[in-house]
Amino acid sequence: MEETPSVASRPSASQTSAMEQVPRIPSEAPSVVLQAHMALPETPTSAEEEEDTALEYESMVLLSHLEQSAIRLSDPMMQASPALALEYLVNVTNRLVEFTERLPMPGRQKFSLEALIVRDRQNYERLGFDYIHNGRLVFAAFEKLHVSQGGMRHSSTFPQLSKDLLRVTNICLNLCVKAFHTPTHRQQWRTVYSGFLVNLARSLQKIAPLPPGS
Amino acid sequence: MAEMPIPKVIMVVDDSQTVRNIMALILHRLGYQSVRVRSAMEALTTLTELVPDLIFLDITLPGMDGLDVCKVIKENQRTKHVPVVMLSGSDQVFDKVMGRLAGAADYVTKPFEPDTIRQCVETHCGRGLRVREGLWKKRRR
Repeated sequence: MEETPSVASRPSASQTSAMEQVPRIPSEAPSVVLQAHMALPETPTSAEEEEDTALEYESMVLLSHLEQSAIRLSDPMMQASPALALEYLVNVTNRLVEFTERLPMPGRQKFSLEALIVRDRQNYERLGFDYIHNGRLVFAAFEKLHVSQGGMRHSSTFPQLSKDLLRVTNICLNLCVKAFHTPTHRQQWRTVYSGFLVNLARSLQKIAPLPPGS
Repeated sequence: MAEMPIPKVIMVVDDSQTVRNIMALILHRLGYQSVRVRSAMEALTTLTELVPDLIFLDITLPGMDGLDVCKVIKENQRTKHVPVVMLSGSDQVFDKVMGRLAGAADYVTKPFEPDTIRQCVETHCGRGLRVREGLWKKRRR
């Protein structure tokens, strides 16, 4: 049983012992877990707190949508359909990219998928400009290169592509966390996004286990 | 000296950790206390120790599904008065009817907006302790 931490009173002493503090990052998290960031040096203004409230609303809506796709990816039926899973993962990534592009990030360069790939190219096994059009991943490009008769042409392709897309997802979620001003929001959303990412990675591993050492 | 107000307790039953976390944040922001569990058995066990003011119950749970859990809640003298809101990834009328037949007071389709949860909670168990006029009203775009 889990419980929100900072609410004043609790139902009873016996329940308190069984309750957990809200979302902690699982210790067995795979390598895609969000990285920790430096604490904020200054106290946020009321305007910044309002911005955080607005951003939080949008983040809740976004994550509620993303989670429904993630749940479908964890469906046992999906585990036998890497091509379909790839399509879902592309949609999840695109939605997150779109959200990240709109984040208020004063003083930072505007986020774009192309710029991300250029900057981080050596870390991607497969992902490149062949798969991107107008700032979005195009599933048809993945399909053309890797899908045949509804299945993946090579068994190694899905793990590589899904790992690349998880990397993009991880970077976007990190930026979503950084967009909050208050340390409390950052901490809470880092935990929430980490939980989401870990579960997404686990679902993808079941579809096609990543090769050892990856 | 005035006593500290006690927040209403809302139970969230969902096997998705992310959904539980989002719900916890929403309820916390609104001034409710959330108790979150991931399975039917965990929910029923918790209900032997705690009677919440409202229950959000996912229809699709591993093992015993949410509709059966709702029936058990409604057959129990201690918990039958607690409003149950079904959570579902499906927007089909059949699910809504089944929810009503099981005794659910309401139905929320996933994905949801925080405002939908707020309205639902306020309808079934009143306003939370942290009522902030304008909370979530200002959007970024």
